[in-house]
Amino acid sequence: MPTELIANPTNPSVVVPTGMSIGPFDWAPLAGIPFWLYVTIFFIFIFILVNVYWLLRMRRLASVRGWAESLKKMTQDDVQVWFISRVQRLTIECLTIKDNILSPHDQSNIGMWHVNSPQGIIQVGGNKAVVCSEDFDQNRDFVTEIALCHACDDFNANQEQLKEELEKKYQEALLINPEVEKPRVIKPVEDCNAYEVYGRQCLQVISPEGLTISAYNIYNPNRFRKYFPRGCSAMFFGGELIHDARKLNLRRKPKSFWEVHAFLMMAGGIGMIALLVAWLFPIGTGA
Amino acid sequence: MATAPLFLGGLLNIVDPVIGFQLYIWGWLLILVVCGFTWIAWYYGSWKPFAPLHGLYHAYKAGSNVAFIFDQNLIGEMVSEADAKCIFDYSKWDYDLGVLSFIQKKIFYYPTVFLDDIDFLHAVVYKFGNINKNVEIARKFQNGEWERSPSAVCGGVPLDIVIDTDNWTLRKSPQHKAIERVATQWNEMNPDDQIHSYSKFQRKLIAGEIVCPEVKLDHLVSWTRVDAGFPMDLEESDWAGKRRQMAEQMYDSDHMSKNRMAIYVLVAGVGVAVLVIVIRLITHYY
Repeated sequence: MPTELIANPTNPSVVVPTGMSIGPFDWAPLAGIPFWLYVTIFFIFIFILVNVYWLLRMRRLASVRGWAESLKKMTQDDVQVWFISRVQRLTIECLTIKDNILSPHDQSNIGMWHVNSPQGIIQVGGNKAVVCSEDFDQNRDFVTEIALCHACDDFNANQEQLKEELEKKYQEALLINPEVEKPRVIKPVEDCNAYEVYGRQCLQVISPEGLTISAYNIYNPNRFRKYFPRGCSAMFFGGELIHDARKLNLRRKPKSFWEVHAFLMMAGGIGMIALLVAWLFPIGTGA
Repeated sequence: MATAPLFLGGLLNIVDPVIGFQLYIWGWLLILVVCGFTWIAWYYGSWKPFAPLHGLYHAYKAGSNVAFIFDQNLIGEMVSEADAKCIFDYSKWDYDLGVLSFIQKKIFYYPTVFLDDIDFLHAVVYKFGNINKNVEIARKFQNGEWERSPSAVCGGVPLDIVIDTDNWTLRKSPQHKAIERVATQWNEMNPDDQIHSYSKFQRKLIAGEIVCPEVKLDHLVSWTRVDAGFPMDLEESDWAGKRRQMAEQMYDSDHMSKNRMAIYVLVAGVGVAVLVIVIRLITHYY
């Protein structure tokens, strides 16, 4: 007797194939799109948000990115340089240093700086760097600039008292060193020339051990830059060096044509021979 | 429950045989893990290496200046203006929040106690954006008296350079604690002439209005250093080596450029020769 098969009526829309399952997230509130898809889109949105957040955050540090990037491309001859431009924009770059002279890798940029003050080298996060500005051909030392301005300001403000003090100190100095020179001029030190001509000598007699700065100082570029010599730009210094280097070469005998072109001609010859051999090399004649 | 055919033919409804999760749940977990790794990669790969310069970001957020604090040896760190100039960290002060509800306590933004111009919405944004308003608070306490003299501009933010030779700005240093103590005492006695910045503290200290034996007043800079910073008699020999090096490079530049060209010519000649042989072989056998 044949077996009778009885099938129960089934709704095909809720049949779940083997190996799959449906759960509460398969609820489709809108246009048949399951809820889990919305949750997935939400998570992808969070992923995008994380990246946008960090991109925006890192963008704020873009101007100091040179701090890390210059370290990556640095060789033994390179040094990190913090530049303050004429419009006081701070950038961080990597320059070559040879014989205490900083010069850019790009040889079309003729600016050069002399690293005269090793104590002016800053250290940020374990990386040493030289601070330079476009309008001065030496490296900067903020501590010295502040110290000099403080000393000169005090000196200028107390002239009469200083004249007496200077005379007294000079008499004391004479007892130690009879050859010490008497400062001849006592008048305000208002610029670099005055400092050079008589200011330094006066200040050294007043404070033989050095100049003092306050324990806490906010560097004021308008106040602390008045003793910078004018006309000492980095471009001028670099230009002069290039000019001098050319002058040095004027005395040397130029290299002969063969000295300059020997390798080039040899390479050209070898290349031609290689071409000729390739052209004339017998192919298939042995078969 | 689903009332329509499964989305994508049920491709993401396949369950794993071990735990019994659908693939889309595994997908969520995967996205969250990737998010976590992305966060860690950004933090350690991009953000943390710039730790000494984070002050720039914080200053930008707070709308204040940024400051480089250097010690006498010019070892420095970039910090926000608040860290460089404000004696007090007002976020650490005790505020009586007893009368506030739980939610009000959670959204309490301490600068609203001192500054009147922060509305509710901004306070909430600043609170959760972690924006520091200490500079504005200190300025208000000092009746607008504030020293600012930016030396440079960094990323659009004015940059102050601060030389702190006696660790005044290090929050955990004994000097800072002494300054905080003395300034607090002064402020209690002189509510109309309060001290909230290191500059003002120093001015009062130099004028002898306050006494703080724990801190130094000044730092000596040797003449050697001054002379190096302001050289008066530089010899040409200071850069003669560089000049000779440049002269040598100029003398050799033509020669060196021809030698470099020779390598290119050699490589090109041999390369073309190989190409000729390859073409001849191909045309011969095919």
